[in-house]
Amino acid sequence: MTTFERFERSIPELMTELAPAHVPDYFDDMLRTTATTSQRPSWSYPERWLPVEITARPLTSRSFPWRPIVVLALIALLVAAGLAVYVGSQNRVPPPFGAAGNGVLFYRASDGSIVSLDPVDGSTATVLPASEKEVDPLPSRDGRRIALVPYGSSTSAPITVRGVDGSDQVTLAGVYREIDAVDWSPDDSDLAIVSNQGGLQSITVAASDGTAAHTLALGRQVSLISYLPDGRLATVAGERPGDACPGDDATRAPCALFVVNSAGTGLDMLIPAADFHGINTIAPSPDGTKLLWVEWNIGTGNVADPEAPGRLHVYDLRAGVDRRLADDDFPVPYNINRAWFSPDGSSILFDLFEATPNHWAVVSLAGGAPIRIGQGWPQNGTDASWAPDGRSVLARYPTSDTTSELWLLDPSGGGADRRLDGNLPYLPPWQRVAR
Amino acid sequence: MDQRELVERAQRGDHDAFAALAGLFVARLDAAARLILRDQDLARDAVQDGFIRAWRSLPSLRDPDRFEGWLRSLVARSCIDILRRRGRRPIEVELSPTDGPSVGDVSAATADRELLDEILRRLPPDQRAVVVLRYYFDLEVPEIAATLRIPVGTAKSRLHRSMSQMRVALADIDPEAAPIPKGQLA
Repeated sequence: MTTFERFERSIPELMTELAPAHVPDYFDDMLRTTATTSQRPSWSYPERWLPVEITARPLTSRSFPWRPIVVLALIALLVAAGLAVYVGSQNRVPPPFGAAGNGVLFYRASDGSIVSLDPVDGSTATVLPASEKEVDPLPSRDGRRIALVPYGSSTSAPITVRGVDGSDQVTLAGVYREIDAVDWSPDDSDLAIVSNQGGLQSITVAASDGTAAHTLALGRQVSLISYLPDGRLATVAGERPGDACPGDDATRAPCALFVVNSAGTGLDMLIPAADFHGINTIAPSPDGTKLLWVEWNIGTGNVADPEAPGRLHVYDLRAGVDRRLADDDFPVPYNINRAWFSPDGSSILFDLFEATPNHWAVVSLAGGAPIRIGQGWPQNGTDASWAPDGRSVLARYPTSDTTSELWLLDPSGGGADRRLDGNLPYLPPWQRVAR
Repeated sequence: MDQRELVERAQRGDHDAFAALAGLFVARLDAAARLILRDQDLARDAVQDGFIRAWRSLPSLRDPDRFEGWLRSLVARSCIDILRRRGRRPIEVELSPTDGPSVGDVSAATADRELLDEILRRLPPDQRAVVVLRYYFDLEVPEIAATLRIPVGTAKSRLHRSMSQMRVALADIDPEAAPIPKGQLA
């Protein structure tokens, strides 16, 4: 016999010792209570009428049904999770930078109305009827709104923001004319606008809900802007206070590359004018660590001149170091005007001017030979941009002063190009959507 | 007058007969309630509640010979009800001192009693009720199930868990007394 078995055998006796049985002192009180309590009549009990097997049976069913409740709870959790996923999918938005899903293209039709074009099936839909002022649509980074911008208007005109279905118009605070550039902030709460403010092309940051706007007091002419993922603005502007950018003298372009806080503070010159010569495009990498720009010697006076030394540069924003992309495998001569990072940041789309027909081209950020994509074009005036998903390049080729072709190009150069319906005077911006 | 006749008379409203019956069982039921509830006052409440229910419901008892088990069931379930009403908060040990061991070595008996006291204190009330019904009233598992109105399987598993925990507690309190075989809960 083990110790426990010996102990177990003694439990009844030990219990008796632990709680000796004696008539409790409340016994009489208890009986007085029962004496004043009436009994229920026997006929009122079901036990009186039902078989004893039923009434005396241990009530197995009365045990708390944990198992089915747990199963039901799990099912409820699954349903709730499914609902959460569904609701979440309804509210999903693309990241402000980097790869996203391809939405529709927005453009201004010849009658001035704002139209969306589905590049997959070619279907179009009118978003807004024509307005008195010609405006061009610029979708927000989350793809839910469009800014309607009167680019280049010499008279003051409002910038409005609407939902992509044309609803909920908001007019931005501020007065704008001669608008050169507009960009949505990373969180779409603001728009940065380059426009003529008091005779100087300046940056104005306007809240997208129309509540406020402030113009950055940089004291120099601004040419280009682009939001960085951290909320700062990269800008090409006159190097010194009072400098025009680009200057009136074509042989001198005192433009420098800066970053500045959206409040106008912390202006930091990355590349001085003497080394910059870039006035066409600046493009941040999706991760915000690099800034792509194109060196261009304005002194040649011809952007399409293959002899003009337009070159790709990548500025490392963390290290503060600029490097020119290796071009050992590029044709000689060549020239570049504009360039943009692919949505995944691994390659660069640019216009390659060379002695033979020019092409849109893609090159790896690591260097190497450029891959010419799409048809060659003899004349300037084409535009291109990456599709939000990075799997194609949208290119517009002018066929005359008033007509053009839209193409989706295979960025690998494999030739899987597709022409889209549409005859647009400019390259339509692409809506980013969640993937 | 035998017990059956007392029950039948009590069923017809004879309170004296009920008092006689109560006198037969109240001492052990009070002790059992103290063992389950570990609290003198709560035990009194449970026993009073059980007896009042018994008096009120006595006409419903179809078989007078089952009176003792029926009464025990009412008191035991009153104990459980009280625990539920209290949200199963821990109850401090408050048992009355014993009159001393009746047999055997005094120091060994005292040690065993204290051991059981500690082991019972560690058991959850549901399991303590099962253990009391099993060892104090010497009920088999189906009777325990009927008394507490729980499924037999539940009574069996509670008793099994109680025994395992008692074994562990015994080893914990007195390692030399109950070495834990391999494979058992520790």
